[in-house]
Amino acid sequence: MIIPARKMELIISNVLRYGVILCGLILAVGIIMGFMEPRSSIATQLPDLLNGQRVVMIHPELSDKVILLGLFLLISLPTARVASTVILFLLEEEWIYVGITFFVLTMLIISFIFGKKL
Amino acid sequence: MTALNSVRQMHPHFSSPAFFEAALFGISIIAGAFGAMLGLGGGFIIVPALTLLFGVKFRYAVGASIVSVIATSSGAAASYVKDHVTNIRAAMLLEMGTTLGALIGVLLSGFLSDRFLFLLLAAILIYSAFSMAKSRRDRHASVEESDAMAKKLKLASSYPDHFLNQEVPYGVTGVKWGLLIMLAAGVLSALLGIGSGTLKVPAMDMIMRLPIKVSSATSNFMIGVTAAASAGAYYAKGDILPILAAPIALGVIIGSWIGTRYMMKTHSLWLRKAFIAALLFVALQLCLYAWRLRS
Repeated sequence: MIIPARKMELIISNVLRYGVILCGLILAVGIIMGFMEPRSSIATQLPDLLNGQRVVMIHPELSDKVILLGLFLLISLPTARVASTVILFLLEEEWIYVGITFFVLTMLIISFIFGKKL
Repeated sequence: MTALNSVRQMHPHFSSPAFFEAALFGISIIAGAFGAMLGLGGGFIIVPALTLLFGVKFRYAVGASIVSVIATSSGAAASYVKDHVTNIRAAMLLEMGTTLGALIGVLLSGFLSDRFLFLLLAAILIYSAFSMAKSRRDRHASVEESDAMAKKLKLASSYPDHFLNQEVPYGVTGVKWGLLIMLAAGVLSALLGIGSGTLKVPAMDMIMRLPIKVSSATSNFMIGVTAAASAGAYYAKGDILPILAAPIALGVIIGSWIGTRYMMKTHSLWLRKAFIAALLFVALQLCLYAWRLRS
């Protein structure tokens, strides 16, 4: 093992921390854009939302896409962490935990894929 | 009809997107800061704020809140790992339960009424309030020797105790029950948009006999993955609205940074008492809201 296991976990966790900051920046940009576009979610969805209605985004503006990208990245961070942990256990030849972490990874991926049907 | 509708008629500013986004942003910074200081998820603040104050549909509040839970957990993950207190194997093993539970929760959310969910959230808030009130004093003796299942899974580990200035080894037991409770924690996390730390820590502490510091750190470590398991589905369903999730996630990111940076993890008694009182107050409001929904 070139890099000890604990150090790897620390590296992964730091990647998460910087990932969060990056997502924050993307979201900030998206919000500002949302105020500048007249047909963005931010500009148009408020009345329906406050009335407790269902809100559907018919035509996502660029600001919406930017925000959704930032949110997608944010949600993917734990999945990335688990995927790295699978590799970690593979390298350590801890087969039981490869199985365990792979199960968790599968659950996370199923969530995205079957979200619509769940 | 929500309270804010009548307020809106009086003050036209309240229907301005700028004000709304700013309000969400501000509330989220506070939620993030308190979450970091008290070691509790900001999810307890966000869902009630969105539903009670702004009349947002429960599912959208959950969607926004669950994203903020991921943000706080991922942002702080490094500090939990760095101190070598987190038991990563235990975390991964128990995440099998929480992620499966989260998917079940997403499924259930389509069948449960908003009214039931409000009451469920109120129940969890009350439980958390009582947990906070009694904690700290009860220390469950940790186990020296792991049970058979824990041995097979090599869960036993050690952690550095700064008071004793040495590595303290511990064993683990009660794996099956722990997993079962984690399943429930996952379901609740998905249904209510919370981190479920209040269920995870007692499960690890009382049933699996992990030292309290390890339980705490491991729970915080697990929360992000649990939340992601439901967030993915909600994202795919379109229940995570940019207008809500963006300012809230951003606010929580900044708030938790402030909370960890500028305030020590405070065991200040008055802060905890104030928070317990707030939890109970909000629980009451949720019950009243649920009661009004019936008619």
